[in-house]
Amino acid sequence: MKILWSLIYFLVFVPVGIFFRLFRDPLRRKWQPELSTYWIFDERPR
Amino acid sequence: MGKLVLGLSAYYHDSAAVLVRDGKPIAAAQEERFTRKRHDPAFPAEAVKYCLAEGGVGLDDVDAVAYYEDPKLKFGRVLTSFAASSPFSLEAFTRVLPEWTSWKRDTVGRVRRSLADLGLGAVPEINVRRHHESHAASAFLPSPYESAAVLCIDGVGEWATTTLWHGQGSRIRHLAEIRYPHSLGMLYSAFTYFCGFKVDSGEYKLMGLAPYGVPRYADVIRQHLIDVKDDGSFRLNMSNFEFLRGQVMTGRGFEQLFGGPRREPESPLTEREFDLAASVQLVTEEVVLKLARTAREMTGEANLCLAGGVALNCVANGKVIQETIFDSVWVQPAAGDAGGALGAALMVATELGAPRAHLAEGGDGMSSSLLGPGFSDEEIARFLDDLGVPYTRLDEESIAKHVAEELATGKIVGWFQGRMEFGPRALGARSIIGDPRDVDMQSTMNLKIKFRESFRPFAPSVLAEEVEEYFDLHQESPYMLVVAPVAKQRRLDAEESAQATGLDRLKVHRSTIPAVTHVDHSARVQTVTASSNPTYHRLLTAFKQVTGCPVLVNTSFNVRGEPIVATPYDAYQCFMRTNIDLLALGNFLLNKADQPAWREQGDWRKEIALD
Repeated sequence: MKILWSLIYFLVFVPVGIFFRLFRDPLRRKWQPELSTYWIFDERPR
Repeated sequence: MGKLVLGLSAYYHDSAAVLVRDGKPIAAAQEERFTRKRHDPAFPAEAVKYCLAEGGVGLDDVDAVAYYEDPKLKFGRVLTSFAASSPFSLEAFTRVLPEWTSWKRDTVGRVRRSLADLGLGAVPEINVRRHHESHAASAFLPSPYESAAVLCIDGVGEWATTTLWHGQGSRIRHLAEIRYPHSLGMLYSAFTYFCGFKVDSGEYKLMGLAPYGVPRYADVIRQHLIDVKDDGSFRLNMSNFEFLRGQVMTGRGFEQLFGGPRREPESPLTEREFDLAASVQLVTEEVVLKLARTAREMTGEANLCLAGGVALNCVANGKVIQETIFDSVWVQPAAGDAGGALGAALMVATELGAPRAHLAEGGDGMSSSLLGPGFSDEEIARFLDDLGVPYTRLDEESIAKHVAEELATGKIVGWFQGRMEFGPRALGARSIIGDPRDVDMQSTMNLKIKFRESFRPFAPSVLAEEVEEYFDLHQESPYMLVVAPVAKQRRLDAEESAQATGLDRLKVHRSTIPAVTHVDHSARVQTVTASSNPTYHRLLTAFKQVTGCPVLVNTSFNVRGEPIVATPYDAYQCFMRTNIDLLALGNFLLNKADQPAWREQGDWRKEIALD
């Protein structure tokens, strides 16, 4: 079973992760000194 | 009968159930108290049974069930995190994802089936609330304020880790949030882990350790771990944390920044751990203060409500009060995830039309957080007679007087009275009590009663009317969630050697109440009023009459690693296993010297996992 999960990881999650890294990081990990705030305002809370 | 809502939190840590009638919590308890497994994450079956029994109802009578977080949204965050942290998260992925796909994804279905399995009636509609909505509701709806700013700070629920809200009437409006992985709770937990304590459990130890150290790593933290904007919003530098990738909080990044590997659990503490604790505590306080100022600016409110696990950081709460950013601050007593069950239930109850009726009465809506099981004198008498142990039955006045006299001679007392507290703090219903004037009390209680680390401080309970005589605190602190300095007039001119560092600082006699004065002259204060807890107020008053001192040492009625006692049996067992001298079970007083020898198979200390 672990092999199946490993396959899913490498075939699905790793490519998606690379895509994220190239285009838009959903975790917004980069520090951005140019921003005055990191708050996310006025959306429905997640 | 009124509208009934059953609130639930489960499957992470501190599972709990709460029953709300017409917007007022009437019963609440954490599952750990019944199962005796600390921070029990299992479905809170026993807590649900208790709540329904306390309300005298079955599930058929309940109008709605409220669950404290959104499993689908949380699953989305888990999937996103694995993808974003690939290819370095394989191990955690193969461990965590099967659990999510097999049942966690359908947590609501599991809750429904677990409720049905109790056989207590048809399961009503289950309403899902978001994690921080539940925290915000638990902070604002039972607060004593008509309107307030609401700040929730924790590790993580679904995505949000810090949220800011505006509460007005029965409405709570979301204003802004910070999302995972950027989390003040995770930052604090990373240091908890690195200093050798358990995550989601040992954070309060780190807070207690902080005053022994010097914050010499604070600049390292500010430069390499967290970028904080002027408005308190922040991002973590994820390259120095491991929690996205694997099963641990920290790794090589922390080792390089802080000069070596993490402390092994239970190994001796060193100056480094003291200084790390002091540093992360200082940075946490800086962030919380900035967040509080932003909350004030964005809402214009004079009152602040706090919830989320970081709101259990009573030192930071004390700083928010001292800075007078707000006129008044109220902290939800069950600020952690157990309180999420309460918030979810209150929010659904409000949507069903329940009023915030407590506002008309002037106080908060928590009934002093005494919402757990209680035992009548008849039930206690039956228990003691069945056990066949000697006791003395007294009335309410004389038990308080007798216990106060014994406390004044240095005796330590197990105090089991009325309904159990909801939340992590013992507030005088399930407490171990001692004399704060006794210079040896802190080490005696730590080593002989609680069997825990010697550095850990104890908290004082004080008559609310006398609080300013003993502490520099100008508002009530009924839930022991605020740290304040011991008043100057109670401090002694203690001669502290310039070389005294770390735990050596424990030996200095700093005030007239040394057992509850931490090395920085601070104390985690509980104020007690006659209306909030008459039995405990009576004891404090009797102690003042005997000694002139209106303060007692109050620590939770348990030993290290064990949940707080819930029943007379739990209390008697803890009494007999430890060096507690007297046990006051309701109006029944038991003297250790009169009890038959306590025998049990095996070493009970090995059966309790260390926290």
